[in-house]
Formats: sequence, structure tokens, C-alpha cells
Amino acid sequence: MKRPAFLPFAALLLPVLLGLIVMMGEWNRRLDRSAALVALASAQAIGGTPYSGARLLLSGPILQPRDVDEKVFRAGSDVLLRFRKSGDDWVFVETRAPGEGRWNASTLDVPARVERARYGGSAKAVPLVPKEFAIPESAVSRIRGGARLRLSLRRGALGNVWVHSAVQSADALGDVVALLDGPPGTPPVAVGSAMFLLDPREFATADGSGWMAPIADLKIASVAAVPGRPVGAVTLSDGRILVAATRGPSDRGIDLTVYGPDGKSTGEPRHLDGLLQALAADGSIWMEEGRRGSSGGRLVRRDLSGSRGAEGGLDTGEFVFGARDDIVGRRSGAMVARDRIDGGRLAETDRWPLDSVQGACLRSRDAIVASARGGVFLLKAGVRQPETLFVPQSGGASSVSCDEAGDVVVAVRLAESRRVYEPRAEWTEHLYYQPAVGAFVDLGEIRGEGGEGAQAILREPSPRMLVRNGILFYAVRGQIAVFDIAAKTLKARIDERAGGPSEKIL
Amino acid sequence: MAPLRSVIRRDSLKEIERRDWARAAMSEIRQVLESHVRGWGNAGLLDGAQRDRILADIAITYGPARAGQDQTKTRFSVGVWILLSLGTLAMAAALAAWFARDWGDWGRLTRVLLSLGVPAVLALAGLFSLKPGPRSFPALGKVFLTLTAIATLSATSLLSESYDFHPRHAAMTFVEAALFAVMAFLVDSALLLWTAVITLSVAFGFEVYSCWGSTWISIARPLPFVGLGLAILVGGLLARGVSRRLGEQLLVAGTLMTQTALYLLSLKAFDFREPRPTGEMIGAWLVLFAPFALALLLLGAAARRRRGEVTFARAAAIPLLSMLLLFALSSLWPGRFYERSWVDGVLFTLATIAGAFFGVQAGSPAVINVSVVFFALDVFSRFSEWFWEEMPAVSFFSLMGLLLILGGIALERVRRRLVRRIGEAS
Repeated sequence: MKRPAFLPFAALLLPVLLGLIVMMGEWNRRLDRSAALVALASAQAIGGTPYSGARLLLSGPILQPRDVDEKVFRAGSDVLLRFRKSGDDWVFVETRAPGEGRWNASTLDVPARVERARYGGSAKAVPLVPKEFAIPESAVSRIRGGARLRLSLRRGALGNVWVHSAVQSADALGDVVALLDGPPGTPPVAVGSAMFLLDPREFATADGSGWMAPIADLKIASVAAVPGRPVGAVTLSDGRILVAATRGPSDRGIDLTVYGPDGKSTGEPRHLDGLLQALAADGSIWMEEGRRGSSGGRLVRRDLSGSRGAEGGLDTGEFVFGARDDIVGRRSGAMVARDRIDGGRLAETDRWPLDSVQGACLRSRDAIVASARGGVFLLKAGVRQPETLFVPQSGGASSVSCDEAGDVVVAVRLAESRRVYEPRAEWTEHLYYQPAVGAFVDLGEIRGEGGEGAQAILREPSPRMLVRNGILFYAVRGQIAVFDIAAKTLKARIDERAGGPSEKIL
Repeated sequence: MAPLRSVIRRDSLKEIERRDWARAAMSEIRQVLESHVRGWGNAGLLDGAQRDRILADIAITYGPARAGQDQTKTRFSVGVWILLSLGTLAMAAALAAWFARDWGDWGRLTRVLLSLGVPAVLALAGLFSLKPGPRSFPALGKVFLTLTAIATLSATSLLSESYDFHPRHAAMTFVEAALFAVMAFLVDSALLLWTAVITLSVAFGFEVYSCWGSTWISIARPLPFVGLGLAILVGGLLARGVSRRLGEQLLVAGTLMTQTALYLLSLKAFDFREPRPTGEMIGAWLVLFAPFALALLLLGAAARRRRGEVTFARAAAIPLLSMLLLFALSSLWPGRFYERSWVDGVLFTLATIAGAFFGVQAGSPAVINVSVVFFALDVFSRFSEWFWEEMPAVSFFSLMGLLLILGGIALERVRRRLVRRIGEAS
């Protein structure tokens, strides 16, 4: 067959076209004389699949679409979104017609395009700023849940805004998976993006009897990096701290690391395969091993050396919400159960059918607190009828947290709104506290943005609350709320960086 | 005439049988037939009018001859062709997945080198395989060139994202689609041609998004795709003069696109409260009418080439031209932009009937088949729409079952009759 003469030209023109893209891209960057401006953004890392690589998704004020009046700016047109510097971040001012645009330390005009959502609705100006990046798979585990990045943005010689760099602060709190108390005189520990000590020196009391007075400008200090993504932690009976972490969002296994009370690691991490269900103060680790089939899953207790102990089963939809000594609490959406270890196997001792169970915790070996449709209930071993502890006046799903002393915190979600283009939800929760002995105390509302959703919190295997000297620390969605119980007021919120070395992501 | 026809066919076949049938090109067949017909004319076996009519029929069936053409095309059996095509698709999927999966792990230099190098290497391998000589392997050459196209598309998208481009127009993608189409015709590759059609649709979809402010896939705005499908359809008519096989593929692609877009418009459940383009939205009007204008232009070019050919005029002018004008004008229907109306259902039904008629006149069984399928879909959709809420479920499903069975049998008879008419007409 004779090869057509034009064919080589047509075929080899294709890589030439690609070379044009590279040339224009390099030109946009290398000839860029604009100033690098810093903007803050939240980051979410998504692990790769067999068909796509790992990706980094950004969100923040600069990246957020803005409503526009379609009579002024029609769909399909280009506009500028003006931002003004406010503290560390940028605040949206107005939408403007396209033009030269400003790009300086105090005023920023971001190019945007007006779009209309698929099925009607209002028009929105979508910023033409990169929001998604392909990243190495190894970077996924380094990016913490709820990470905050400092982006360095530049305008580009050809007008394409590009991200010069993105840096993750090493000490952002992240989503706190456990709040751990310690012996008197030792600081409590928060396990989130790293291990943090709530440094008592910042708020020692005048008479030295305790601390937390006055509560102002609460500080945290990072003492240890936790490799991977922490999913649970517990204070062992000897005062050491056991932390469980996964290597990535799709990892079905955990790395267990033991730290001393000062936050220093005491040995190499031990890896266990399976899904973490619960951690107990005696060093028991409850894991769901293997894949859950139609007949249920296998629940296994292991100790710190990895040796297998007791075994049990998990039906479809069930998981463990707590373990203490020889007692394990299980729940699904329709029931709460209490099991006891008997001869190496878990035997069910009590079962309470409840409608739409949203959360549960072990208040003691013989008492469980559960939130379900109709309120919050106390389930006592040997008593079939649940006792109503509390009925929220309003709100939706509620979560419950208990500590070793038997205190309970109930968080009722009042609102959660997520705009169409915005992955970070704004939420409001109302907190109620009940001591081991006493009535419920209404602590009021807390608000925030972003963080793990309520459903994710409800399945955490670690305590998220602790009480010291009349002060309640409660970890929720990327922050630690600090309440003065007697005064029933929110005294402080901890969600800021504590400084320290940062890590370049892009 | 009948004995003469059998003499013509026998002599033509005798001549062809002497050659290697598997390697004979369409143009060589045509050359042989034409030379025989002229010979019979000179020998007095055919008068002038008969000779001209037979020559015109050969021209329509086998396409215009190209002087000095020396092409021999290898034709595989259907089974091997299917295997090669599926293998190419699998390799293309692997290539695209490799780029997408590992892109994040590559540094900037590696990304650039692989983005340029992989398409270049594949293109060179394709050109080498197509080079005449003892090592020539045309089928493999087509595979490599198709993979070049896929690699180019993957690299275009990933490089644009890496460099943070937010283009206003898909100029690069249009150029790539044109190159793919040119290469497809040069090497006679249907897969590459379909890659070109899909690339063109993606580029056009981006333009619709960019000009009209819709979501990227633009499924909420199928109206411009009616025009694009018609333009591809007319392009297929023209392309049959270059390669009948690939021209047929374009006819099918155009019919599919037009009918699918019209079907979406006709669905009751389809909500497309899209903004009517205002006077200032020049881009939106452009993407709406430009494909219709292009189709009319191509139709004019095709008609000029085949001046005086009654068959072509009947195929193009009556169904196609009327569809073009009807749909272009209906874009001005005010209600169409705010709610679904009876116009959409009527247009879709008309289009399926016109498509079948066009298929008969153009001699394309594939177009007939596609149009018949969409007609059946139309009947099914209207039936569901009108009677679902009016009847009890038992009656509805019983009636629908009867309609599908009896209607399917009737439609198949109509389809076979239409396809038979192609044979009779030729």
C-alpha cells in the first residue's frame, strides 16, 4: 500500500500542537512579572483509583463562586471578582466588568466566568483559578484532614492565574479524633493532625491547685508528628498513649504507635490489617478483619503485641462504638447491643431495639448512652426498657460522647448548609452536658465551617470530650470548644496553627 | 436489457475474478467496469443513453475515479477486524488510564517529555507500519495512529490542567479533530474517524458551554447538537465520494447525533430551562446557527458536484434540506427555550421519518436502521407519556407489550422493504 504524502505531516503535527501548549504554559509562567500573593485555602486529598491518580482539591474565599445578577453579567461572559486583603486572608468586595484588573498586596482582581447551573437557578461567577491538582499518591497521607494551605498565586504573563506553590502548615489542628486526659498535673492531649498538648503553663491557676483560669488566648503546642491519618487514640492504664493511624483514605489497615506522656514515641509502629472498631484503656484493639460479606463480618480483639484474643461477629450495618475491659458495645441503625467476653468469644448480654440510632457511647461497664429518634436514652445492663435521659427541643441528628468518669455530652446538629460549588459546609450544633451524677446543662451553640461531617464523627472509636476542674473540652469538626460548665458559656475555641515548620505540597 | 445486464455482470466478474479480489480497490473495480461499458458502447452493444446511464450508476455506487490512484486495500475477515478494533480500544483505554493514573507522580519535565514523546513515537510507529515495502503492515499502522490520537487527547487535557489554562475556545481541539479526520481518510480507518467525530463533539460542546454559560457537557442544551449532527450527515454525503465506507460511518454518526439530540428535546422528563440567547449573546447565536449554515454550505457543495443527478437531489433536497430549514427556524420558537412544547415531539417524529426516507434515497441501510430504531423509541416514549397516568398498570403494560411486539414486527417489515428499495434503486 502506498502511503499518502500528506500523512506524515498530519501525524507529526500532533506532537507539535502539544509542544505549543507547553510553550504557552512556560511563557505564561516564566515571563510573569506579577507579584506572588498569598491566599489561604482548605485542602482535601483524594486517593487514586485504578483509572485516575490522586488529586488535591482546594476551597476557599478566592476559589468560591459568587452569585451575579444575570441582567448585568450574562451567562458565558468574563468578569473580574475583586477581593480586598483582610488580615491573613482576602474578602470578596464586588463583581466587576472585565478590564485590566488589579493585582497587588491590598487588592486582587480574579478573572471569572459566569455560568448557569444545569437546571436553572441563579448565575454564578466561577473564578478561573486552579482548584484541582494531580499529586503523587505518597502525598495523600501527608495532607491532613481539614488541612489549611497557604497558596502563592500569580497572575501569569498571558492572564492565566496559576499557583506558584502551596504550603501546608505543620501545626494546623486538623480534625481531632481524640481528646485524652492524663494524671493530675499532666496536660491533656489532643490527637489531630499531630499530637498536641494543651499546655497548662498557659493557663495555670493562681493557687496552683489546677489550671484553666483564666481561659484566654488558649494555646496548644505540637509535640509529636503522627505519621499518616490518625483515626483513634486512647490513654493506656500506665499513662502511655496509643495512637492508631491509617496510611491513606483507601487503606484497610492501621499503624499503632505508642507514645509516652511527654509525646515521644516509644517504639516502631505496628501494622494491623482490617478496620479499626474500638480502642480500650487496657490496650485492647478491636478490629474488623477481612471483608464483610452477606453473612456479616469478623470482629477480633488484639493486644499491643498483635496477639489475637477474643472474637465475635458483626452483622450487616453493625459496628462497635466502644469497649471497656471485657465489655463491647455494638450498634446499627436499629438497635444497640452489649456484649461480654465469655470463653474467648463475645456473647450478647443485652439488646435494645431503637429507631434511627445516631450515636452511642459506653458510660460505664453497665450503662450505655444512645441517641435515637425521640431523644437520648440510658440503657442499663439487665434492664430491657430504655430510660429517657433527654429530649432535644429542636434540631436533627445528635451525637453522644462519654468519658471514663461517666460524663456525657450530647451535640444536636441544628443546621448544616453546603452551597452548590462549596465543599465546606457551615454548621451549627447545640451542646448539652450531663455529669456522672446530675442533670443536663445547656451549654449553648457552637458554629463552624468545614471539618468531617456529623456521620463521620458518630463512628469514631475514641473519646472526644474531657472535663477538668469544671471546664469541658469538646472536639468537634476541626476545632476544640472550651466551655465553662458552671457559667454555661463557650470560653474559647482552638483551631489555629501553633507555628512551626511547614511542608510544601505543590 | 435483462440478457445484457447478465452479460455485463458476468464479464465484469470474470475480469475481477482474474485478480486478487481481496486486494482490489473500489476505484480499480470502477475502472474495470467503466472500461468494459465504454467498450460495449463502442462495439454497439449499448446505445449512447444506455451507456451514459450505466456509467452514471457506476459513479454513484463506486464513487468518482481518481487518476493514477494505486491503492490496494487489505480486507480482513469480519472476525479479525472485530478483534483488531477491540484490541485497539483496549490499548487506547490503557493509554488514557496510564496518563491519568501516573500524571501526579511525574515531575514537570517528565510530564512534558512523555506528553510530546509518546504521541510522536506512536505516530512514527504508525508511519513506519504504513510505509510500502516487505514490512508494511497497514492494519497495525492504523492501530498506532489511533493510539496517537488518544495519547494526544489525554496529553492536551492534562497539560492544559498542569499549566492552569482556562481557554475561551477549544481551538486546539478543533484542529486535532480535523487532523484525526484527515488521517482517518488517508489510511481508511473507521476507528480513527469515530475518534475525530467524538473529539469534534467535545470541542463543540465546550464552545456551547463557553458561549452560553452552561455546564461543560452541555447535555442541557442539545439544540446546537441537532445542527452539528446534520452538518456531519451532509459531510458524510460528500465524503462518500472519497471513501464510501468512511462516508457511511459519517452518515451514521450524524444521524445518531441529530436523532439523539432531538430525542432528548422531546422527553417530558427533560428539564431545560435555559436562557434564550439575548441580542448581545452573539456567541450563543453562533453556536446555534453555524452548524446549520455549515450543513447548507456542504449541501450546496455536494449538489454542485453531482449536478443533474436526480437520485442525489431527491435524497438531499427533500428530507435533508427541509429538516435543516425546519430546525433552524424552530430555534427561533420562543417557547422552546423555556419549556418543552408539542413542537419538540413533532420535530422528532418528522426527523425519524425523514431520516428513513433519506437513507433510502442515499442508499444507506445503516441510516435506515438508526432512523427506524429512533422511530420506535419515539412511539414508546409518547405512549408512556400519554398513557402512564391515564391507565391502570396492568392495562398499561399489557398494551405496551402488544404495541412493542406487533409494532416491532411491523417496523421490521417496513425496514426490510426500505432496505430492499435501495437494491432495486441501484
